[in-house]
Amino acid sequence: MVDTWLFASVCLFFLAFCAVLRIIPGPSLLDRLIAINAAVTIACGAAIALTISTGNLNVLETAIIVALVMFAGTIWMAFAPGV
Amino acid sequence: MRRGCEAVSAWLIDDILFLLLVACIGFGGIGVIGLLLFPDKWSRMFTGVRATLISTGLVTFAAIIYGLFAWLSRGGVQYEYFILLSVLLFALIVIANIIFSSTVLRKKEGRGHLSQHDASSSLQHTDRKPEE
Repeated sequence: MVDTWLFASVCLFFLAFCAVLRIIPGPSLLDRLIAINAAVTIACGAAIALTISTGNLNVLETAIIVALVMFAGTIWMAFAPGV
Repeated sequence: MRRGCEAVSAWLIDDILFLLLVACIGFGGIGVIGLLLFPDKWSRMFTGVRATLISTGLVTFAAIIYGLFAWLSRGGVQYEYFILLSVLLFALIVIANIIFSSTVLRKKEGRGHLSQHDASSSLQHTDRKPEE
């Protein structure tokens, strides 16, 4: 039987990848920032599900650090005058 | 008897977790579809932020239920740590999304005021033209 948490994490990572694909067309910087924000948010949910599936807490700790860096970057870019 | 109760509650918890995860994937799909299909960037931002936040909230809620159930049935510090980290990550996501959305919307409103000012000044300018 397929692990429910693993299936959920795979689906969420796929959705995060689809959101990452939205970065390419853009066209403005704000469109790209919105896509990055949505991708990181979905990937964090996938990381929570993957943590339960693998039973490894390092996944969640890594996700927190990556999310902190990515959100700091997007907010810093949102404050930039060109957006 | 106790084992029977535990088996029933485990079955119930499994069903609740399954429903929460299905809802989480559904809301994530709505967010990504909105992100990919909506033509306006503001509607894209609205959908991208709200639907993905609901999706992550649902998976966090499911993880908290799982962690609490595992902690109560098996015990162990790692489950408390896991619940704490999940809540911390979700709080970080919510705060970051609120700051991002409010920043972008404030800039949009500023631009709207500017454009209104420009429009009114241009109207005044066009009103003045016939007088001149």
